[in-house]
Amino acid sequence: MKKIVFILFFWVVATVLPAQTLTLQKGWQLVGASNDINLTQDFNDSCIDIVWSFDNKYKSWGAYSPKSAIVKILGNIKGIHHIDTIKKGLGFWLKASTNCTLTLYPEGLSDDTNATRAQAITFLKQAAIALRESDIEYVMRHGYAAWIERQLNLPFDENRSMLNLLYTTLHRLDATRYTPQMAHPQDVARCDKTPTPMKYRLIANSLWWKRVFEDSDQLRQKVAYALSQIIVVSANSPAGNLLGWRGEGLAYYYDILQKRAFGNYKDLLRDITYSPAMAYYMTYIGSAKYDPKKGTSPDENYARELMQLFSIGTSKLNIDGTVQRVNGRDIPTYTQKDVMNNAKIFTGWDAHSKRFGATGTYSGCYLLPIAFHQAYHDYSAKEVLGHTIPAGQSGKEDIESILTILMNNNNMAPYICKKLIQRMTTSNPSAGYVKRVASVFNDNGHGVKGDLKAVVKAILLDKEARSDANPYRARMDELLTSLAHLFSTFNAKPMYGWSLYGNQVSKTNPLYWIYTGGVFDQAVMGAPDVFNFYDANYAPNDPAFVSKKLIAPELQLHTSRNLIRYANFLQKVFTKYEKFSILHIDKRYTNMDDFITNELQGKSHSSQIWTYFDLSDVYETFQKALGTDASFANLKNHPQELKRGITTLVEYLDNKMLGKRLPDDYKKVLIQELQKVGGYDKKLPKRARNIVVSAIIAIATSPYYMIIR
Amino acid sequence: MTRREFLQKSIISAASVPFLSVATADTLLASTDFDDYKALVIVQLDGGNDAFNTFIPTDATHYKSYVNARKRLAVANVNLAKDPAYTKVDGYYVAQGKNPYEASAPANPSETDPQNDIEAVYRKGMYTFGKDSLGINGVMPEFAALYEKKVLSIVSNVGTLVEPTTKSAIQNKSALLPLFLFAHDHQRRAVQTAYAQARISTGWLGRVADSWSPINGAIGLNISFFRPSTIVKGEETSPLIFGTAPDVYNNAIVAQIIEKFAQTPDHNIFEALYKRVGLKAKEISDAFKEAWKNSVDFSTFSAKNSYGGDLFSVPNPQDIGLPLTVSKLNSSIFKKLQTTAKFIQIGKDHFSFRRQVFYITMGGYDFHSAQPMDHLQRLRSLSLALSDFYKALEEMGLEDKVVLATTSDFGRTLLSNGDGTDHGWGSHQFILCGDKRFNGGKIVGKEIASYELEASENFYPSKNCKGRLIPTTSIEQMFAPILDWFGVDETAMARAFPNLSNFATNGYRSAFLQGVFG
Repeated sequence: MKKIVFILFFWVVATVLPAQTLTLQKGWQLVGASNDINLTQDFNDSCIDIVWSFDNKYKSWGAYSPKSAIVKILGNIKGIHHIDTIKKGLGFWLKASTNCTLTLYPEGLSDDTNATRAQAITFLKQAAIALRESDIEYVMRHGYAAWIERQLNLPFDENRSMLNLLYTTLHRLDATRYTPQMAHPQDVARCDKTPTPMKYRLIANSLWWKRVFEDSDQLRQKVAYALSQIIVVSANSPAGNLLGWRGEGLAYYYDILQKRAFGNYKDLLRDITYSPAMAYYMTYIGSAKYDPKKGTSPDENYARELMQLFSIGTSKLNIDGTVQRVNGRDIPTYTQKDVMNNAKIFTGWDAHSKRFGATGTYSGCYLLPIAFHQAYHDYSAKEVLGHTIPAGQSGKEDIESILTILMNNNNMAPYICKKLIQRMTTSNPSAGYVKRVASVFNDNGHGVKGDLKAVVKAILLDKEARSDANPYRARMDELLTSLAHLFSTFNAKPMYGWSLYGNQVSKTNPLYWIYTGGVFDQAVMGAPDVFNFYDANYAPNDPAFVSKKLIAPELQLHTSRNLIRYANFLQKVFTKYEKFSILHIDKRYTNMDDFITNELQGKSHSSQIWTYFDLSDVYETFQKALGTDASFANLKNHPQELKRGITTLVEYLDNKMLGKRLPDDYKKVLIQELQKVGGYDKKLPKRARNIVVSAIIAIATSPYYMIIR
Repeated sequence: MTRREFLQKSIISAASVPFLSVATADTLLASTDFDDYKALVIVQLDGGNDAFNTFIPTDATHYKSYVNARKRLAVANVNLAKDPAYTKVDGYYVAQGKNPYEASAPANPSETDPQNDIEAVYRKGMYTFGKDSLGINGVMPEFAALYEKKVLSIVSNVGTLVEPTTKSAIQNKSALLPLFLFAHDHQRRAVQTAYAQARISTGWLGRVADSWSPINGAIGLNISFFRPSTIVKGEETSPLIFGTAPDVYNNAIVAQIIEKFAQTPDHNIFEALYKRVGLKAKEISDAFKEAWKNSVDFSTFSAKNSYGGDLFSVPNPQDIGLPLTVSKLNSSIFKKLQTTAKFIQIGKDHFSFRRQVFYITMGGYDFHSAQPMDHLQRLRSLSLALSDFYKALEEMGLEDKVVLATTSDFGRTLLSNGDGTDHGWGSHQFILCGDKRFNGGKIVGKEIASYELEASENFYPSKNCKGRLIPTTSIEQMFAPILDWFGVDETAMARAFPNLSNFATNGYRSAFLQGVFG
């Protein structure tokens, strides 16, 4: 055996792997690794049966197989260890069931400064929420790194915090129906006397859109949004509906995510721990130490989810995000005992200006950090994750202790980084990608752990995120964010203000109103529970995905129902709320101001979209190509001109929306089918509108728009 | 050759041995040639229902331990069915023709402590039947009536298990336990995959659909409301996600383009997948263009709800005597069961389906806090909606063709955390069915041996006891007899419930929970 290994070693020296792909022949072969190879990531193709490698250190053979039946048998054999990596320079035997080609993942940071329009759009779908033309141009001209640097250096504008926007908005609202009594964030004395019932959460949703469409700090908004799906708080609380009515608490919470988006993860965890929204949502508000008389014990909710979801996860991970296993089983990061001890830490806290343990929707202040009540705190020592938190510490000291323990846990970097990668660039990062980002999380280069600024940069600039070669570097867009991309492309504008049932139309404080929760079950801070909108590991039952063990979490919400409703929603907004339709087809108004003013009169806040769109450039392009006037007169009798016009329209939209990524087959289908739009000979503008709107919806719901890659 | 040598040899030649290649184990397809209509309705009480306050121990010893553990959350030991103030009208418990809670609603609610009003109703008492070991919370009079009618059974202490499990086996670490007990997402997954020992991504109802595939065209066997769930996801099949009415593309050209896009060559696996997703939406849209037009109108039914309103109408809480702070009932469970009843009729008569599965999620059962209020509201809603559903089936003549059964993430701790309860393990569920073979009105499964915290606690010293019960019946043991009734044969059963054989002693049917059917 030893002799063979010796020979093998020399054979390897002479063998170098191609940089991107590895071509395998059916049957056995000897392969050498020019770089470290992560088997579970790069060698999980079903064409691979087994990999054998002799480990000189352990003097034994190690094996790897992506096939569960083989792994099962391997597990029964003593003396054979499982391997998941091959070190650079080593050789290994591999048996393939068929001829196949594997893709190996590129490593390192991208220094690409030239991005095409298509690449810039893909990048911005990863790094921004709105697709702003100015950002597309900036990325094309100066490169990804320059854009990121510029964004990271934009400070958080307190005037544009959700709380400030909420405060100024409420003070402009109808004073008779909904008293604008929300206290100013600094007005502590009035804080607990806050609201008359009001769906603040609906406004919070509106303010989110306002920031998306109006503000340039897109990367901050994107990271805050990604964090809102990792450290989840929702207006739809499983425990009750309070946050639906205390939207100021949600605004306060979202501002923490925005402020800390480029800060340190520990500071973020501390801030959210003290936030009344999280305290309510994870029910440690009013949680008291063990009371033998009442038979009550500390609430375990946050104690568990802080570990399970917000910091270290349930299973021990390697730095590259792969799961550590013993005898094929995961190793738990914590036990029920840890949860119960951790629960003692979060005792004695309740909302500011509130009687401890009191119930009721309007009791307490949701604009300030939660307050400590020592009489209810458990001062005993706590044994958590192998550490002892000494007895007698104050509530704040206890929280600081557990945060330090969690920050020092080796699981945090791979756990949080993989989640952030999956919310930004790809659902299926290679182990190497996770490792590179997690290493930055562990040390930003200046010995600091948890620096999100460095992490965000590492995620977006990694070659795996930037390379087009990797077919699995992809993520399904959410319908919500895809809508944001689309609406920003088509110039979404607020209809000058907000009026709840009343008649006040304020032109000074325009608000957007697009509540998507009722359309496709998703709106910001509206997840059904703390596990977010979709299963983080959702794997489609598609053979190609199953064989490669790929996931596509966001796809879980692309149900037939949601897709149909999404298309119907687009149909509605691009006809009823779009300038061309309003002025040339609806014709009740001769200018947009009249439309805006009259549409707002007497309408309830929930029945309207209150955002309008301007497709003038699209209609003009179409018109020019047809050589017609604003009434689209020659749509009628000239099939050749129609075809030419539609071809120009499709090319224009392909460039505008995708940077020219539609394959010819798709364009052919579009051009053919759009010519069939008809039946409105006497209403030519309407026919033109139906062509334009159908084209936009078809592209916006196509794989090329919905898949970010 | 030793066993080890043999195995090593096998691995070396693994690739050439067909049975070792990755097996989706697609063997014989079960016959889907059914000659009658049947539907299975699963209601997931999402978040972990507090079954111990839904069904309360009646035996004096157990009740005493229960009160010791529950203290302020304990339901009173008052048998409402025996209270002379409550009489039965048309099989339902009422007080002089009114709702049982009418009497307890305070005369001037605004002047009293709302928390006390809530607790007064939530803890008021229970309905007990003969010597049955569990009583039904007093806020569920319609539910009690269904139980007495013998169309509803309670399944005692059921939960996620890999194999039969005892306290001593857990203590000496020989038990193979579900992955990550007490964690919502993992336990929900275990309930849905029926494979508690590891993560897999398909559910047991999805695998039944796989075994019967193709069935019911584009619509398929499984229907899930509003959101997809793992339980209805198969290896090859996907559920239909449905709202309260079908959705159809308004723009026919767009629908046509989506279909034509799907026919172009694939460039990438994500793209290929998304084309199929689009195509399915188009097919669903087409299938429903006409289907819903002749759906049943329950306002024309002679059956009414327990307050004389139309079936599936949602009563105003105050009109039925609930305290002011209960602002509304959970309308979504009424809507989902109403849509299910409609879809059953359309599936049977319009589409000529023979088998359908409906998966309903009723949210908000994670009672860490404000339990009296939230649990009361949900149990009251559930009781009314279930009763409407059963009455609707009766009037459609289908009550013996439908089984409705519940699941939940897990049970809750016996000990409260103040005004709520934390994550537990074993829990009670229930099954509703009008088939004579079902013979309900009883408690099936092993009675809980003890409500003493220490006796029920599995893992930690008694001072940390919160009372988490080890299930004595597994999810698959409860649902296997139901799938058997549904027509799932032995092969498909093994595919749906790979762990079922761990509970069998003599043939797969020996694992079935006794008393569910026959």
